[in-house]
Amino acid sequence: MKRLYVGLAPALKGAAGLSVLAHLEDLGERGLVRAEGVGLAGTFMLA
Amino acid sequence: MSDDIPFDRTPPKPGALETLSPLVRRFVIDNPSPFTFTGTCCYVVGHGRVAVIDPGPGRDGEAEALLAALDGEEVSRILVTHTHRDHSPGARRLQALTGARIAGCAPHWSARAAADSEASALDASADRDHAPDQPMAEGDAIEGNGWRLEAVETPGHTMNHLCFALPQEETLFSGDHVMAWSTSIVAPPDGSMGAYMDSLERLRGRSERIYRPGHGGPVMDPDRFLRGLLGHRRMREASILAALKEGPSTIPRW
Repeated sequence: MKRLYVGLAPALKGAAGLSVLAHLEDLGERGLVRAEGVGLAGTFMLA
Repeated sequence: MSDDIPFDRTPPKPGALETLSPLVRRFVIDNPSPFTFTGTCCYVVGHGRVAVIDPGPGRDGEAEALLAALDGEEVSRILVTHTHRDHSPGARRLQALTGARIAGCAPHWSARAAADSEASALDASADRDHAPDQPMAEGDAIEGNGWRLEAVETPGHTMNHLCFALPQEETLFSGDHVMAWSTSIVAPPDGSMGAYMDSLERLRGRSERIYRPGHGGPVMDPDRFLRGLLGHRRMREASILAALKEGPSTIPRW
């Protein structure tokens, strides 16, 4: 998923990762994605 | 960032009390960063007896500088949009100097519990000491001479995030929920993307014509801006799902 934020300023990359996590958790709540592990350490896949 | 969002990155200058409209003045705190742009926008509403919105990080001298700029006007109420350290701690400093009551968002709370292994990169930004005298909920209002500020619940960036509507000027003080210079950070476990998207939808159809955010200049076409933000997030979501079609993935550690 690195290509989602190509060209992003280095200072913002931590926040970008958290934003991706926020999307993944929302997708999980909607039944579209599931995770093994929690948070930034998780592995995500389509449900 | 999406080309469909009409960003405006005109930088407001810190350090001076600037008149924006008949009822609204802005004092930009000098706390620039990649996340705060040129600094936190502290707003003053009214004249004589005023409300102050988001006094900022509360560093030495900031509250004093704001009061010096107000030159004898009385702070009748301090409002806070949300409990991030660049917005809320200054409320306590300003209260200590003026005796004004603190109103607005509730104490900090998270969208979900943090996992044992989880350390939010932005956790240091949460102000867990915020304890308002007057927590406000949807529709609650503070009134002054010729103005009224109404709370609009907009959880997502933080779960306690409030915007404040000023009907007399068709204005919404939008905190960090909607900003003209950048998209907003939504960071678990404190923030929630689902709540954030619902809150964006909730703002559509409201009557405000101008948003005054917590960082940067105003949003002059809120309806178009909201459409852009929603479209941007949905595109991001589609990109994530497309990436996962290729197989399981982890979040990059840049």
